[in-house]
Amino acid sequence: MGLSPENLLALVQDRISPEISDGTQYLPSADGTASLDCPKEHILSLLRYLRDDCEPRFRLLTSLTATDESLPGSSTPDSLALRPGAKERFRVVYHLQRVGEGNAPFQVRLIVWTHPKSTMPSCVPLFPGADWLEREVFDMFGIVFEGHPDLKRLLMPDGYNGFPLRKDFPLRGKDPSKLYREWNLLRLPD
Amino acid sequence: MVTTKILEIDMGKEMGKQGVSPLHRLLELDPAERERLSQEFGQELHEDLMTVNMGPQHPSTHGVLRIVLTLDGELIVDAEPVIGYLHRGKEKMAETLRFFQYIPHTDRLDYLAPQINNVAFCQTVEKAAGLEVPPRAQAIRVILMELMRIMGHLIYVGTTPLDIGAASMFFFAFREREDLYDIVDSITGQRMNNSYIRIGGVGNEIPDATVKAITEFVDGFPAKVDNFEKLLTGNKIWWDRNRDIGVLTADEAIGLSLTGPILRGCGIEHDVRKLAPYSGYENYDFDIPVGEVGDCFDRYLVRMEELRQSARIISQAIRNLPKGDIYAEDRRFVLPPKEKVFSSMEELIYQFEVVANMKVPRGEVYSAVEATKGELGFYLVSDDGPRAHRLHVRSPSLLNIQALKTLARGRYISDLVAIIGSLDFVMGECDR
Repeated sequence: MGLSPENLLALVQDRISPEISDGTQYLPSADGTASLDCPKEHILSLLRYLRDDCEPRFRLLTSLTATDESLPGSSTPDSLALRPGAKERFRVVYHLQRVGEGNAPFQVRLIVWTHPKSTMPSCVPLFPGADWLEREVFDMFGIVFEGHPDLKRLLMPDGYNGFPLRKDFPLRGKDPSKLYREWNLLRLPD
Repeated sequence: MVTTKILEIDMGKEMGKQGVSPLHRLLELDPAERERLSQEFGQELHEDLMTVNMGPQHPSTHGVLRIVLTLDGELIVDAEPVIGYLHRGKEKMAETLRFFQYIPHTDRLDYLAPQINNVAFCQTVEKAAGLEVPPRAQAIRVILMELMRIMGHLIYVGTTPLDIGAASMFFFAFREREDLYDIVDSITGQRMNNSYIRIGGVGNEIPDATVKAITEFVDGFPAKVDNFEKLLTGNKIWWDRNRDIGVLTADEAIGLSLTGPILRGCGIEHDVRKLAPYSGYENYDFDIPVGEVGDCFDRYLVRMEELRQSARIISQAIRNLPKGDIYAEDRRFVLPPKEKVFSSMEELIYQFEVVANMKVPRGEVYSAVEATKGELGFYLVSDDGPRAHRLHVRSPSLLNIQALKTLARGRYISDLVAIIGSLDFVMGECDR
C-alpha cells in the first residue's frame, strides 16, 4: 500500500512508542514532503525507526542543515526577535529519502528546535555520512552536536571567531585586520 | 582517527638538523595502536609514521582540496580531507540577493555543468511560488541539462586517465567538449557560467541551426563513446589501476549519504530523474546503469553508459520538442520579454514590479535534481519576500569527498589518485 504524506505520522504513532510520537506533529509543507516536528530527546529514536523499521525504509540521509529563525534586523543577542511561529532560535532540519523504486513518498523532513545554549544529539552513529554535515552546522551556526566523533570547523579556518550563517553575523564578514589580530592572540599561548 | 604522538613539533627549528621538510611531520605510533593497524592492513607497520600534505595545490586533486595523509611508506594509514579553501559564502549571499539575482551565483557551484544548478535553483523557487513551467521550456531545460551531464562526465573521462597516466584520453574527451561548448554558446551566448535558465522558463529560444547541430552531435556521439571505451575499458593498465580499488558496498554508500554514479556503481538503482521526476523526465525513455562491485571501475562504466543514455534523452527531446511559450505567463514572478518591455507601458510596470516586489509565499521547499556528481538539492525557506530567509545547498561533492577518508584507508598513494578521480567532485560545489 502506498504511504501518503498525511498518514505517515499515523504510521509513526502506530509503530513506535506513544511517548515518542506524542510530541511529534505533522506539518503541511509547500513541496508536498511529509514534515514531522519532533522533540529533541526523541529525534534519534525517530531517525532509527525511519531508517530500520519503517515501510518503506528511509535509509538515505540526504541533507542535514539548520536555519536561524531570528529576524535579520534584531542584532543584539539580548533582544532577539524571532520569526512568527518560531519556537526557538534554531531549527535543525533533516531530510531522509528512500532508496530505490516504490510508490511511497520520496522523502521525509524532520525538524528539531534548539537554541544556542543547548546541544543536539549527534546522529553520526546512525548515519556515518552526517559527520561533515553536523560539522558544517556547527561551523556555520555554532550548534554543538553531542556525541560527534570529531566536532570542529569544516569550511571556515580553525580558530575563526563567529558563526557566519547566524543572522547577527555581518554579511561582509569581519574586518580582516581585526580577524588576524584575533588569530594572533589565539596563537600567543603556545 | 589514528592516535599518534608528534615527535617533532617545531619543525622550523629542527629542519636543518633533521633534514626533513617543514611540510612533513614524523609521528610516533602507540604500540597497541600499531598492533591493531598492522592487523587491519595485513602488514607490519613501522614505528614512526609520516604526515604529508597532499594539496591544496596538487594537480590530481582537481581544485583546492588538501588531504592530510598519515603514511607508512606508501601505505595510507589515515587520510583527512581538509576543505574550505574555495568557500565564498554562497548560502549567506542568498539571504541578501533577490531570487533572480542569485541565479548567476548557482553557476559557480558546479562550474563544469552550470545549467543543472540553474535548473535546480529555479525549480525550487518555482515550487515555492507554485509556478508551472510550460512544456517547451521544460524540454529545452532537459536538453541543456543532458548536454551538461555529457560535459561533466567528459571531464571525468578526460582527466581521471590523465591523472593515472593515460594522457591521450584527455584530448579525445576535450575535443568533444569543445563541440558542446559551441552548441551551448549558440543557445545561451556564453561558453561557461551561462545563467540561461530563468525563474518560470528559459532565457531565449533555441535557434534552428542549433537544433540541427545538436541532432548531428547526438547521432554521432554513441560511436565516439564506443571509441573511448576501446581506449579504456579493455586496457590492462586502466583495468589494473581501477578494478577492486576504492570498493564500497551498497550499505556503506547509503550510510555515507552518497548519491549519483557512485551509489549506482554499488548496484543501487537510485536516480532522482526516475524516483521524483522533474522537468518532464517521466516522458523520456532511458535506462539507469548500475554496477556490481562498487569499485572505481564500476563507477567508470556507469558514467560511460550515462553518456549514451544522455544522448538518447536529448535525441528524444529534440524529436518531440513541443511548440509554445518558453516562459510561464505569470506576471507576479516572471520577467516580461525584453522586446515587450521596450514597447509597452504595462510590461514595463510589470518588469519593475517583479524586480522590486516579487514575493515568494512563506514556506519551505526542498527540491532536488540529478546532477552529474549526485543529488543536487536546494532547501529554501521563504518568508513572503523577494529574498530567501535561508537557502541551503545540498552539495553532492561535499559528501563524495567525505567518502575519501573511508576509501583511502589501507591503500597506496597511487590508488588514492584513482579514487579521487573516480569520486569526481568539484570544489566550487563542495565549499560553496
